[in-house]
Amino acid sequence: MTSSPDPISELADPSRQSRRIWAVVSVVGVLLLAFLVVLGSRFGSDPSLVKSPLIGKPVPDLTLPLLEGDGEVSLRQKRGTILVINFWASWCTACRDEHPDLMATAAAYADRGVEFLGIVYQDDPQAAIAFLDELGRGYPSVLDPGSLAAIEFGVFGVPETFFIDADGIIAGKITGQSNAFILASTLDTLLAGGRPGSQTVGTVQSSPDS
Amino acid sequence: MSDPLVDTEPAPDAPRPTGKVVVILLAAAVAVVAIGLITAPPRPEDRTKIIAAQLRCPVCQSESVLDSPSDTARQMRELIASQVAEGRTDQEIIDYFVARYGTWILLDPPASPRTIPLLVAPAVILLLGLWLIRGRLRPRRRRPAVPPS
Amino acid sequence: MIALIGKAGVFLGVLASLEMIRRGIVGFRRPERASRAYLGGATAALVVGAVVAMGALQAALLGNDFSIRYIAENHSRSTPFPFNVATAWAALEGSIVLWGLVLAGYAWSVVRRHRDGDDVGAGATAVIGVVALFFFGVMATVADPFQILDVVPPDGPGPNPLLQNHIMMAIHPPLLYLGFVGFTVPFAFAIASLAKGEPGSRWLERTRTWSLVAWSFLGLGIVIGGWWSYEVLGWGGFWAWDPVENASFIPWLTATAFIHSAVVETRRGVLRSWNYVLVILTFAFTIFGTFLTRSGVIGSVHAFSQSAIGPVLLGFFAVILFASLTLIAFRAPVVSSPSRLDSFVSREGAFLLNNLILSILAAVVLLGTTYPMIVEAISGEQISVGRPFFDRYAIPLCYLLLASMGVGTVAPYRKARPIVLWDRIRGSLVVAALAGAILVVTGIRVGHVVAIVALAILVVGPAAERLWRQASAFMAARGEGRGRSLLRVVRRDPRFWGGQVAHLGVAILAVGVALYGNLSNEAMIELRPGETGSVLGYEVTYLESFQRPEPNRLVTGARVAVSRDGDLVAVMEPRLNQYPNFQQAIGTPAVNISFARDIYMTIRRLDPESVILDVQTHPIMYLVWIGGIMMAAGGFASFVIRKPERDDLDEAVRDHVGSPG
Repeated sequence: MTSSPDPISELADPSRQSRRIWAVVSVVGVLLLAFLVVLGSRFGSDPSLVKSPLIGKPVPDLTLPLLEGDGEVSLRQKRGTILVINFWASWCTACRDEHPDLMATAAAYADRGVEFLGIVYQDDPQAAIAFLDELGRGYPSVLDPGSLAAIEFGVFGVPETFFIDADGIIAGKITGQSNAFILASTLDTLLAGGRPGSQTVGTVQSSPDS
Repeated sequence: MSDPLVDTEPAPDAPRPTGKVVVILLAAAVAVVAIGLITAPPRPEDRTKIIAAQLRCPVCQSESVLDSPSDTARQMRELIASQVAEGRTDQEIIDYFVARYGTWILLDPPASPRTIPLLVAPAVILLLGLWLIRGRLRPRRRRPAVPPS
Repeated sequence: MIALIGKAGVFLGVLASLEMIRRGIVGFRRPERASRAYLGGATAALVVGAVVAMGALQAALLGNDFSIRYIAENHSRSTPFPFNVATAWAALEGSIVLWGLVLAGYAWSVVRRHRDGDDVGAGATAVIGVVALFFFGVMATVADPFQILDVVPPDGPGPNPLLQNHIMMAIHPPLLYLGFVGFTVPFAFAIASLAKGEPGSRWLERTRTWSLVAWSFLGLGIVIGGWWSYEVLGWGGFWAWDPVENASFIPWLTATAFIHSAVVETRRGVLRSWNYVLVILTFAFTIFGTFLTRSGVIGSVHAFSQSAIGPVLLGFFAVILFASLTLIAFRAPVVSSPSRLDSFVSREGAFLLNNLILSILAAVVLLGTTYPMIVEAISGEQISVGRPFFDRYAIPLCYLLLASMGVGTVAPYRKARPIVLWDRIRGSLVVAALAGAILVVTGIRVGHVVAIVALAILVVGPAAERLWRQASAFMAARGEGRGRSLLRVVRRDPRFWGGQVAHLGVAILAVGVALYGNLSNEAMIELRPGETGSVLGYEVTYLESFQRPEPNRLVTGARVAVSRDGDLVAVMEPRLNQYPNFQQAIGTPAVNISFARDIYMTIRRLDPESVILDVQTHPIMYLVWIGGIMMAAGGFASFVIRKPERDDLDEAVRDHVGSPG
């Protein structure tokens, strides 16, 4: 049943209506344009990479068991030295690629008061030891039972590398695969008393099959 | 397309009177429901689950820490549970994670100048919709288009 | 060889769509040229191209042709049937081929119904040609499924293990695409109608069936996706407000609004511009959803890997919206309806309320999904918007929607006097209140559960009452049996009653979701082999672990006996599937379904000494699946059931029932 329009209550003004429609369309068009620009700007960025709020905060007070041998390492004990903490796992391809650079940098800066420490992230200890057998050892690594250290450092995946200055403050972070150049430049900044901040070099792997 | 069966039965000018039984039954049932719900014992809340449901899993990023099967989420749940046992408040535990992962880890965005548009938008759209609907309805008082001569 | 055939098919598709555009425009401008044969020729070529492309892809898969890059990256010799067939749409390039095939099918169904001289129909064919040109163009350039490799690998990694775990994952994309792509048809007719400046609602009535088909398939696809998530992913849930899930939900919401507001336009001649907007938005959001899934701008477990197709899809989305908006603006005088509605308290008002609620929900979901991107683009800050945000709006809106479904379905048109409304719903109100009372008395004193059950009865009751009364009228007038009379009532208005079946589905789904969200339980237990423990009122015994090699994976699991009060309930086998090319094992839950509850069991850790099991119970879980499927079934029923020819029986019944009001 269709109704016939009642002439009395009809809003008989098509030009007003059409002006209104034009106005609405224009507003929507502008909003749409802004929306598209925003979306377009997101191309090329990885939505899974998140910036760290820990820069400038003191290093967590943790003591972790060594991967090989008995004994523990305390993160706070390293006052006076610069500490580089690298989260890694045997199943992480980028960790394999960056490992030689880490070892080389550790050796190069060893006499300048810089220490390196590896933290094994959600891995089988035997697999981790096999990784070091294959790629070499340049500095000690510790295990992270319960992933407490990973949570304390806000780790999303591996590899992530943190820089602790001589006062025990987290001064820098590299997300993704590092290399000798970026490690050296970060350490140089630190040794000169600066704060390198957060840098994203690549993506991190959060689980073995990703 | 007029269809008497669809539109009118029973004929709207002759609806059946409401029996007293119906009214009493309805009132009684509603009363039972109201009393039953108001006096219901409070359900034991698992604070760990409530907190974990508000945090986003850093690994399985579309799931909450409560739902995610990943190792990281499991360990975060254990950490939350131990902090609850230590006596920390919900807000303290949430702040602990935010301090380490940033506001990204909150599944419900906090109210801040940047999230105001998001929180206000639904109300704005509701008002806009109501205004548009009003425009489609016949005006209450009829304004004659042609003045009577 | 196969790759060449495939490329030829794609190329034919491109040419055919160009020809469809050309012929469609010619037929639009000069209706005397718009014959079915004229338009059908180009459309047939499109179908051939699409079939050849998909055929070539399937031949390459089933023939293990690893010289083609898509096969080498996504297929493996050991992938069993039917997952090797489904690999055709498991990854990006293949999914576009499927889209093209479904689009060609719909284009064919449009041209089959074409009547000679129909200019709007020709215009619609042209619009479909534009969309087809886009997708086949993408297939020919950015997302070429038939790229050839220089070095042919002997085997490939196979599809993602999550896509091989369950048969439902194979049918989920085709169902979704039958939904998404279907909306191209009403969109095409809307654009052609606008371009012509056609007054009235002809385009709406012509495309009603397609809209219902697309809506039903889309809903079914979404439900199947949720069911798969429950059966496979192991977290025990079926909806995570994940960005890709949301991307498919938004067009479904606007499509649901469209189906309802279309009824208002057909009956009362209002909301014409709104319906144009809704159908354009629905189609645009199907493209937007495709963009979100494939562009890499949003992180999601569903997302395809990043590729160059992102900017292209975004561009197409922009073009569609800008062009459609401009067209609406130019045709504003034709599009605006002079009529007005009498009262908000009426059947039309209920439809308007439905549209308002669904539009708000669609806007909330869209905003919530895209807001993190917007904030990060503008300020660099990273936030998340997840379940707590979406539930906060979805839950109250659903309550409101259920209430309006109950009352609105039986509200008279034009103006509903309260006394009439009361008369029609009071029976259901009493039953609803009594049901609530029964729940409370039997110990279920959770507000949400009681409220949703009561609302569900309110949704179903008044319509059921109407069905009964009308059937009784037929029985009295004709002397037929109850069954025949009921059928007769339904067949007189299949759209209304199909809709009521869908509403019944919504009610059942709502109850299922309320039960799931409020009365589920979860607990973990660690058992050594042979040990029995107690969890959630059941005794569970860890019998043994097992290992079972299969062609494409190694299955490890735990055999667990579940008993209650000494009686064996089930032997459940939660499993871990280890695929050769993926390091982490994929867990498969064991689900035991019964009338009262699902028992849902997953392995948290399995080693030689013990197993850690996660056990959940979900009351009457199948209500969710039945409700969802019934929604789609109602949609299908509304166009499948045929109206009978009017006979003089209706005269007799009309006399019996009384005069129209």
